[in-house]
Amino acid sequence: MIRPVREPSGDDPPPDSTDLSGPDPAAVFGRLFDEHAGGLHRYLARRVGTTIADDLVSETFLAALRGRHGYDPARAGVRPWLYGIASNLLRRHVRDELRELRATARLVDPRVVETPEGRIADRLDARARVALLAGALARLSDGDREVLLLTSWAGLSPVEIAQALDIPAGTVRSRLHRVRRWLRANAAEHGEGSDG
Amino acid sequence: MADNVRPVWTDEELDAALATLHDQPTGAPDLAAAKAALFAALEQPLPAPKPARRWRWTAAAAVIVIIGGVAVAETVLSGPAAPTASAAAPTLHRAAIAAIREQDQVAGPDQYTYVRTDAWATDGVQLNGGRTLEKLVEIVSQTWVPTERSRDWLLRSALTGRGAWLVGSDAERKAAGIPADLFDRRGADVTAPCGDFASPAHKAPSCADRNLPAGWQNPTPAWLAGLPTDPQGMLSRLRADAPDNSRGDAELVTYVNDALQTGLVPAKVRAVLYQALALLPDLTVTQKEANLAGRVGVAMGVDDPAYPTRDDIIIDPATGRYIGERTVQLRTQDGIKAGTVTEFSAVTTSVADRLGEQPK
Repeated sequence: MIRPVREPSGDDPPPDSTDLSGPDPAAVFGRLFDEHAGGLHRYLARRVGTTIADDLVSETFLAALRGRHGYDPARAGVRPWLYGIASNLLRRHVRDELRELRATARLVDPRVVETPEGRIADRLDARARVALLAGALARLSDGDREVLLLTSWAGLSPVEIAQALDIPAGTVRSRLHRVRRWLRANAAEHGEGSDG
Repeated sequence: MADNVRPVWTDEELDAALATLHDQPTGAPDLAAAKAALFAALEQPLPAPKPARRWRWTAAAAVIVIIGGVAVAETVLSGPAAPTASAAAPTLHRAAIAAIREQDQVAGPDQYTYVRTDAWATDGVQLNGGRTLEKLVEIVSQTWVPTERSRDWLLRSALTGRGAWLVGSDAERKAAGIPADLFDRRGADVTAPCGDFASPAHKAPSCADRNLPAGWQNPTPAWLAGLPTDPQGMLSRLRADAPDNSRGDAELVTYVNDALQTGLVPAKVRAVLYQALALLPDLTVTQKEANLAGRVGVAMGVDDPAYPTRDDIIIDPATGRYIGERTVQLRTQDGIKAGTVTEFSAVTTSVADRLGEQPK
C-alpha cells in the first residue's frame, strides 16, 4: 500500500520536543506513564528491590508533574529527564543498595573458589562471577555506579545519561570506560589490586 | 583458560555478570498504585505555567560522587570530626566488658524486637546552570521483628519533615519553582515474612530461602549462633567474609556496621565484635564524643587514603551499646569540606507486644 508522503506536522512530535506544559497534562502524563513506568520500575527494582521501586516510580512521576514547567525539551529527552529525577530520589536509598550488594557478594565463598595456593580456580561459574561483581559494585563511587547501571540496566546511551545527570557526554564515556576497566581487573580477581 | 589464574575479565564476562545480577523475574510490576497517585495529583489544581523555562530537574550525580552524598550541617551535629591520635583498643575493651554485663531486652516467643533507626540522608536537585540544592532529610524507620522470624515483619519508614539545607535555602527553592513536598514524603508500611522487604510478595518456603542470604547484612539467629566466640576467631571470620578488596580493614568496619545496624545482634556477640575490632592495627578514635541524633558515643574508624569517605562505628563504652554509624568526608571534594559528617544512622532496640505497636 502506497501512502502519501506526509508533511511534518505537530501531530507526532519526536520525544525531545514533548511539551509538558500544555493545557492537558493528564493526557501527556498518562502517555508518559504508560511508556516509561514499566522500564523505570524494572531498573529501580534491580537497584533497590521492588518495594522501594514501587514508591520511587510513583515519586518520580509526581516530581515530574510538579516540575513539568521546568522541563526543557531543548536540553534533554523525556526519558533521560525521568531517569535523572529517579536517580536523584535513589540517593536516599544508597545505603540499602550497598548493603544488598555486599550481601549478594557473600553468595560466593572465597574459601571455595580459592585454591590452597591462594589463587583462583580456573573456572568460576556464572553465579560466582555475579557475586564477585556485586562486591565490586559496592566499592564503586556512587557516580561511577550510576553511569554503569544506567547504561547496562536502563539501556541509556551516553548522551542520554549526560542529559539525565547533567554532565558532559564525554565525561560519561570516559567514566564508563574507566569503570569497566576497573571492574574487569578488580571484580575478576579475588585479591588485592586496584588501578584506581 | 590454560592456567588457573584469571586476573582480568573479558568485556563479555563483565556484561554477562551485569546482565544476571539482581535480575530476578518478579512478574509484571504492579504500577496501578503509582498511576492512581499520578492521576490523583493531576486532579489537583496545578500551578500556573511559568513564562520562562529557567530551571529543570535532574540528578546531581555529577556533583555527588561520594557515598551518602552530602554534608550534615553543623547545626545537626556537635561539630566536624577531627581525628585524634588515640588508639581505639582501650575504648573497645571497655565497651566489650560493659556489653558482657549488659542484659539485652529479649522478646518473648510471641513478641517483637522493635528496632528504630534515626537517620539523616540527603535529597538534592540540580538547577539549570549546574548548581545543586542539597538538603538533609531525617528519616525514621521502625521495624518490628517477630521472634519467630518466618512470621510477618513490619517496616514503617517515613521522612519526619525535619531537614537542613546544606546548599541552598527555602527562598532559593521557591524561586526555582521547586515544590517543598519533594522533600517531604510519608512512607507506607511494608509487611513481609522473614524481613524480606525488598520483595515482600516473594513467599519462600522458609526464611533460609529468602533472596538476601544470611550474613553480616542479614544476621539471622542461626548465623549469629555460628559466629566464633573469641576475638581472634571473629576477626578471621570477618576477614574471610568481607571479600578481598582494596579498602583493607576499612571495609571490615563497614561489615560490622551492617550487622549492628539491624539491631539484632545480642550483647554477647557485640562484645566479641568489639574485641575483634580492637585487634585492627589502624583503627583509631576519630571523635571522643560523636553525637548521633542526641545519642553520644565514641566514634572509631580506619582511614583509607584511596577512598573519599570513612565509615565510623559509634559505641557507648560505658554501656557497650551500639549507637550507630556515620560517614565522614576525608578529602575536600565538590564543595564538601574534609572532616564533614555526610550521613549518619542511630539505632535503638526494645521489645514490643504487637506488630505496629510502639514499645510501652
